[in-house]
Amino acid sequence: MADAGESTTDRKERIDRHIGDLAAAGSKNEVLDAIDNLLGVSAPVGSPSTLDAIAQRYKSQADDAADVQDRVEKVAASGLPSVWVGSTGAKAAEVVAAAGRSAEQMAEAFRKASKALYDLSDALTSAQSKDGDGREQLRRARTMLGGEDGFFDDMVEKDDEEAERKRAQDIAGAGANLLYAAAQEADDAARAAARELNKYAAEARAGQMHTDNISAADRLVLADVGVFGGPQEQNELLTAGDLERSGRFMERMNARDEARFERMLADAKTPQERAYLVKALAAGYDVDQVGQFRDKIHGKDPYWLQQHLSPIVTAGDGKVNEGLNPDGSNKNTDYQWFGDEKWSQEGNTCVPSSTVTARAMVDPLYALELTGGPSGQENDPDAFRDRLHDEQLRLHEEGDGDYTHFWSDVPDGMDSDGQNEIANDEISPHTGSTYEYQQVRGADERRDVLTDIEKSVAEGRPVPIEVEGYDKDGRHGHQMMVIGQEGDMLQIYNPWGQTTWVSEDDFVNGHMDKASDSRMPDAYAVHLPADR
Amino acid sequence: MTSALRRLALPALLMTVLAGCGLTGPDTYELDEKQIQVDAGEEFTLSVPVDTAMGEWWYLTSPEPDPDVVRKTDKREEIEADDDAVGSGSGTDFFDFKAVGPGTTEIRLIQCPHGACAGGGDAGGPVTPSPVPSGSPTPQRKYRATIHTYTVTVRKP
Repeated sequence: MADAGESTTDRKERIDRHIGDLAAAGSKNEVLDAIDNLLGVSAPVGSPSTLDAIAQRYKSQADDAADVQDRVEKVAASGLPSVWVGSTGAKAAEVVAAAGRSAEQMAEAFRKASKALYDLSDALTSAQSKDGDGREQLRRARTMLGGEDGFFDDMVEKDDEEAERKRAQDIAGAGANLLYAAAQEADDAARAAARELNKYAAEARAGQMHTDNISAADRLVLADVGVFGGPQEQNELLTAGDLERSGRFMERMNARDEARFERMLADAKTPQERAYLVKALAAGYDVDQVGQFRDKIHGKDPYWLQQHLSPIVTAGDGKVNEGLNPDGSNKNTDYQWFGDEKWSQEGNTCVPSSTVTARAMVDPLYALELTGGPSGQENDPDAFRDRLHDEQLRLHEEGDGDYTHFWSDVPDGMDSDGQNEIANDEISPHTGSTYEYQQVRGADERRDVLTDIEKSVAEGRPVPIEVEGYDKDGRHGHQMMVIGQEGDMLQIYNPWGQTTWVSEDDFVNGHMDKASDSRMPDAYAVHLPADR
Repeated sequence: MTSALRRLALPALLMTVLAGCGLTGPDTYELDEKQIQVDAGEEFTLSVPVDTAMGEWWYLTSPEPDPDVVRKTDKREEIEADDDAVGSGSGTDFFDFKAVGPGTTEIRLIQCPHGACAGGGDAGGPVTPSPVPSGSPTPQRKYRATIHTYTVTVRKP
């Protein structure tokens, strides 16, 4: 019985296995078994006409959103008084600008989602047609062979029987190949559609904040704030996860805390200050702690806030292919600085170092402790480096990392248990997702985890990945973080102090040297966030 | 007869042990040995520590040594790392040369912390220190490339 619920990858793997059985079959009964097994694999599921109908609806919604954008832009052009609106002090002009950008993004999201669904529908139509042709050939081959041989018939195969069996085997082989091609086409199309739709779902950001404690206008502006120093759309200060979590936490506040938090937001000097307060709440801190944090950052300019609270800034041209360095890494790389010090590892501490930076990305109080010291007011890169190194060593110890020899205090790597433990201890409490270690040593396994990686980073949860390489001396490994996703590209933070973009094909096909170096090209493990 | 075998066995054993230590191979010079004297026809090796866990690389850079005096024959890397741990290990790079004729020349090796060098790769050309973008402060020394120059004198055999 065909299982319509099996994944596209499972289906492909089953067909591949039965194709092997068919090719190796040395008797009529073995050929018949292989054909029956192939026919037992379900055809690509899904209704192209339903997909077309949804795609059409999205397209008309894209037109509606474009109309809203047009009208909002007319309001913006008419000149707005500098008045306060909403409960948190967002200015009317900020709200209108955010509404315009939101409408523009919404129109684009609907347009692209519509295209993704049309593409999926086309691919599914083509895959189902190929699959149908393949099944016809398999049935033809089965008809040629007739019923199964009995025990004694099966023991002897005459020359003409062998020739007929081989002819049927060839026809069945061609049919099976069509089944495989159809499964591959459906698999690729489903993956591409999931990637696009997950991304647009995460980009509907203002809607993630389910709270009526602050107005829709304020939510719109908060979702629109970018980290200083890079294009807004690639440096959204509040991730979809931050907006969802902060909304949830606001709903749980008592009236006194709610009033205090709203006051802090209303008093913020810049949209960035306001958004960092919301990020602190999303990171799991209570209103007292957010209040202390607020006292340290109040009135600071957007550049100061970025330097002290956001370790990573993404450049607008980061995805441009500028070729490779002699060590196999991308030339196009963004170095991540605090003053003249990089957010980089010291010694053999890639695991704790990438974890420290990932936590600093999701937890602004922690970032400020590293950059600004206990007072939060320091601006000294040397002192930052000392604190960063101490923190890397603390996490190395926490994850039971190795040392160069028995009585040494020089770190020398960490095993997979330690890697997962420190990710769960340091990052999870601030994103709400625990990490699960998963090996992905084959291309299919890596392709399979892509959707989960994309969804996680689109929602603002960094994904630790391990890469490795082998030479005559053995294996060498390194940890990095997937921190962003755009189209079919992944943004990678390398604790050597940099970020770069690689394609998903690079991730699948062993070209992660573009983010590390040619000593370590293969991604072999990921730590996937799972919803609590 | 037994004592004769013993007399033959001892030098043979010593040769085996010495060959195992590399003591009978080409002379190897460490990073602090920058003045080198060799006979024409001899092979020699420059050995440098490489911080592989930090993505460091070493290259021969321009101007290359006078080809009538010294020629590069190979570059090798040996890494010691714990197979079970991620991020462990360190390495040694070996640059092998042959002294081809009498004279004096310089060999320049460039030590590249990750991202500190330009050139080479798919663009070709020598590997050189990355230029500092105009208007940017000069990076700290630990983030910059370092060129190590060896002076090699090749004597007539």
